Amino acid sequence: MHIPKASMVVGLAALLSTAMVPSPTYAKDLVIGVSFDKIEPFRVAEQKALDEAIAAQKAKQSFANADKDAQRQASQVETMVSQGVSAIVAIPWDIEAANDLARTTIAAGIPFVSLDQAPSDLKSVTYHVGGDPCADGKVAGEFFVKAAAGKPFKLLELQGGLANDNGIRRSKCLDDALKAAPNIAIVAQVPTDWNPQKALAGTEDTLQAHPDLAGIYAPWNDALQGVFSVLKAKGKLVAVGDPKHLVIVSIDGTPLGCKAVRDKLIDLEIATPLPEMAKRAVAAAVKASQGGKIDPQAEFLPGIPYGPGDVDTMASKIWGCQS
Amino acid sequence: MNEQTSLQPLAKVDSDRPRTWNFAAVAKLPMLPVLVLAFIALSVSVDGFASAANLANMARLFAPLVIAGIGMTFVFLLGEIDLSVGSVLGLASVLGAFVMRSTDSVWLGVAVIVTTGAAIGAFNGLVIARFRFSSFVHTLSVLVTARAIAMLITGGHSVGRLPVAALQFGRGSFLALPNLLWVAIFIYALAHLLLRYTVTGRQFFLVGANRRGAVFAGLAVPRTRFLAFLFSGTLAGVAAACIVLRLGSGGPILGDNLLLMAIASVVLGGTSVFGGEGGVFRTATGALVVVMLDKGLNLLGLEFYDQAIVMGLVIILGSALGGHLYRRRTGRP
Repeated sequence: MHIPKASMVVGLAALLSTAMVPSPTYAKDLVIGVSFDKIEPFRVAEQKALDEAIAAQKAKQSFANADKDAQRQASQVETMVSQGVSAIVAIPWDIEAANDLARTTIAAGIPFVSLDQAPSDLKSVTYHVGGDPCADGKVAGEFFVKAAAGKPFKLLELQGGLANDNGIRRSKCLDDALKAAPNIAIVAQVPTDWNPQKALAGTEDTLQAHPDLAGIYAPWNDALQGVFSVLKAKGKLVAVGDPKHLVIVSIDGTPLGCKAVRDKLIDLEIATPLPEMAKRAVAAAVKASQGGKIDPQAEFLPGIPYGPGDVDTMASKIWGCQS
Repeated sequence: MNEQTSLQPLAKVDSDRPRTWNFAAVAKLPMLPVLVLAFIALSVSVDGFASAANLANMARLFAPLVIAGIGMTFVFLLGEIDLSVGSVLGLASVLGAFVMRSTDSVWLGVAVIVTTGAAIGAFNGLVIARFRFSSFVHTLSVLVTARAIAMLITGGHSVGRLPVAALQFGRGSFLALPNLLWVAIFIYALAHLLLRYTVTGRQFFLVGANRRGAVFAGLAVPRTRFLAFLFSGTLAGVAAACIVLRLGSGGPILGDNLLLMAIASVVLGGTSVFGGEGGVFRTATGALVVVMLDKGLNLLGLEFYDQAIVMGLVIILGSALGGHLYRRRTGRP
């Protein structure tokens, strides 16, 4: 039995050595527990913004990623509570479960700040700061109405995660804004679950069925990768102003979005004010952990719209244009 | 230590069962030494890992996973797979949460959750056993359909604001153990007794080891296949109830991660994906390893990507080790 024994010894030794890495202790430090719902490019940017905001407050950080699992997020937050962190800044995965998670955390004497995704009951958290998905969706809708200029206009609406507040409201408020323009027909609504490959497939299918498609709504920047692939293959990836150009509006403000605007491949980008959100979230978490009163209890920061015409003047305000 | 290999006559299986700890016994439970050593190592190296709060936290994470894993074990014992578990869990949680919220009755909601799981499990069992559909293809289609229905009902939102009593049970304890762990222990005991002491239970091993032989031996093969999927669906429902009671909400994608983790628990524990070999104790050890690594690596401060790599390596090494030990013991190629 030498082979299995050897395998077991090697495996266990590896596990043991991993486990022997010293763990952080937070006894007397100001420590912010950061709980993310998932990791993707936008979240990485949010993590970087939080890192900077936490460092500016001279605090330490305990980070956990729930990987799209509400149960795991609850467990990770409970662990942070038992570790005695000073406050928690969380991007909730399940906006209903977040209510009870926040309440039990606050009952344990630890402030709970939600970032980006609002829990369904804002009163359950110490403080919330996020973008305004409805305002962003509305701005996008109004831009399409203006671009259509009363003429028949076929629009493809890519949708983000339909189990996600940002995804749902970016879609709903776009649709509400378009109700005022009967000339605009949404020929396809494609749920993508924030997956660029699904955005690619949805764009391909829609262009096949509607070669005269006039516009595409990509409610998060990563979708642009899939959209551009299809448009390039069809010879329609051309700059704003070209007769073959499709009107494209996107949301987020990542470096990818900024580059697309600078390359004049999209008409409008709505940038989430991410560094400001992170600063406010951490400041509120620190203040609440020191017994300070938080007022207002919730803030929604609308996105910053910019396009090829004003990208150079707006670049200093757009986080994705600075990297 | 009551796992068995059913290629042998039942009487012989009993007499061969190891009564004391020895290598042969450990070889049937490849994750047990990993579990023990990992627990010791993490307890020594991670502040608060072995604290009561963290152990209770892990127990609440472990309970739904092992319950769903036990259900999956019945299916794996037959050499089948049930991919619908995660979506069934999501749909059942949504329906039960709606009932809880509208009637203010926690137990009526729980009954709806478990009944939904059982109904879909019975449907799966009927189609697969009676009409001989491929379990992979059929349960994949149920995965997609159940998820879509749950999305349709909720519009993608989770269903929360449940009665306070739901959370009181889900986060409460009895005799120093979390209530959810008691539920898992109860389910484990039932499954163990069924597989160990009943003719029906033993038929899972016999049918899984050699379905054609089982048919010629006059065993109730369709009934056994039906029961496997019925148990899997029902226990997915019980797991859903545990999660709803813990989180205070149900959601259409609540079970997406649980499916893979349940499969990992079964395979890591040492139950054969080809059927005929395995059991619920093995699944429990596999689930414990999954939960312990999940919590331990996170507490160690490892980056998410590093955690995923370590978890993946453990699953690969664990399943390879289990497979190797199984082949050595049984002489199967």
